[in-house]
Amino acid sequence: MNATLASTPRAQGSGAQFEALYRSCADDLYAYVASLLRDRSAAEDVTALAFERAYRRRALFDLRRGSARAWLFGIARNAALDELRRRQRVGPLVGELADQSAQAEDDDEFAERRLVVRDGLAALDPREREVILLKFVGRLSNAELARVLGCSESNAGTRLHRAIKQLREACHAAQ
Amino acid sequence: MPRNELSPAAQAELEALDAILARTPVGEEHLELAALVDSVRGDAPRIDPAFATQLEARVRARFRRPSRRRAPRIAWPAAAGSLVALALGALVLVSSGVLNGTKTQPDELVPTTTVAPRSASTGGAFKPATRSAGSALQASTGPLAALAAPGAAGGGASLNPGSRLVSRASSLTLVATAGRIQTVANAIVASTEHAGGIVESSSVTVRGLASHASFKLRVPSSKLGGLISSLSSLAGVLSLNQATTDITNSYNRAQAKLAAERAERSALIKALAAATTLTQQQRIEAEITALDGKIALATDRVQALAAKGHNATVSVDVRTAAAGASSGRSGPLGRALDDSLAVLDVALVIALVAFAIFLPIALCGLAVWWSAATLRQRARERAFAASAT
Repeated sequence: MNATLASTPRAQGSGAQFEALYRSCADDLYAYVASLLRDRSAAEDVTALAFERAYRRRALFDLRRGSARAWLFGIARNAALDELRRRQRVGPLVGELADQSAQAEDDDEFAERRLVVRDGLAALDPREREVILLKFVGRLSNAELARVLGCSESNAGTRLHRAIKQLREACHAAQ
Repeated sequence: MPRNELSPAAQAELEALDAILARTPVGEEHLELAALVDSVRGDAPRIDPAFATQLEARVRARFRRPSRRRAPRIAWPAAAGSLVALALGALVLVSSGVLNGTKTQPDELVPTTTVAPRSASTGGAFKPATRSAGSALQASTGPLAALAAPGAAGGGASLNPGSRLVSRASSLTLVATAGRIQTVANAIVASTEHAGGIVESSSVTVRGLASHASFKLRVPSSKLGGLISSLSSLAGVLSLNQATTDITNSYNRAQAKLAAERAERSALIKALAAATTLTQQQRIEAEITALDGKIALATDRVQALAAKGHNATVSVDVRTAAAGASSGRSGPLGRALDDSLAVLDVALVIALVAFAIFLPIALCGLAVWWSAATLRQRARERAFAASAT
């Protein structure tokens, strides 16, 4: 899953390998952050901030505590939650995330299914939705999931399975 | 992968999920899950290509900020090192003399006078020696001259305003080889006489490794530093202690008492001259006789205090190298070893003091950092939970 990150950022030391980390994670990281924030502009800011923080703190990364991908998602999660805190202080978000993910070439059946899944995701508890996003979009292993969420691996697996079950039920309800 | 809390079916589904995400074929029973993954991923927000290009450029540029004039960066390691060095230097100074009142370097012993004028600006702080021993002697013997003629008016008996009378006592332990005990003892006597002092008592025993010598010396205070330096060069120095006691108040009280008794005696002599009856004369003469005894005692007291301020006492103990255990070695190599051990000893003390100071600070800082991080994370989670509403 994280084959592109065979070595640590500290060991990499060079920007070239951080670029490899960027290329392997940027799309998924942005999708995760944008789904959390539901604001494209804020998601771009947070994504850029997460990469910058990761680059500046790369000396602190320890491979024994998890992969670089999990470490990066952890940084992005904290940055996104800080953005949510800031919003709570200054006021709620006005606009929702525009549907730029819709693909014109999608067939009707796939487009309909996406809408159902979108409604199902929206109906989930934020924590369950986050687990789904980290797993499906972030493609983190359960161990990496546990590290980002700050829980045990078995607990992460349980939460993931429960979230999938909830998503299925929400999708059936939305149909 | 421990998934103890999951049923086998749930574990299988999670394993299938990992396979789906890794784009590995899965069984038909998991195709619905694969479709769900595709839908979630397909509906996920896509990064704007323009933003992606811009961000990649920043990554390639190593997130360098636009050039701006920056103040010269402070070399933090150098600054921190300087601070630590200063702190250690201060600790060395404190630990070398102030805390235990012990001087370890005989060369630092400077001759001081018994009577040192008080600094007007500091109101009581001692200045370095500014008066000669002669003047100190004059100050202390002045009242004695006045007492030589009991009926004369006292003048120059008290200390100059602001002057202090200080008693000094030193204790020195030397270590020499058994064969050198007698030589060192002789040299101690010679050095004392050369410094103008006297040997009040001495004891020298030459008996192999049990040889030892001890001396009680009295020397003018102005020669104390020179004598200590001289004695320290005779053998290895095991220890050196110096103590000072300000006896100015005791001296002034004794002086005042003496003056009062002398004034009373003068008054009695006048009364004796004016006495008209034999009975009166006898009574006054008896009082004068009794008073003369008190004046003699007071004179002795003032003399003793003056001598105590003028002369310093030095206790010297000479042991054999074996009796001195592992320290106090003689010879250049032995002394160098002793010095090295002393330096290590001081360094260890400094390290312990620094540890005792910085450990609580570090623990407090760690606790504050941990608390702040925990509170911040909780606030994040609360904000996340609230974002759904």
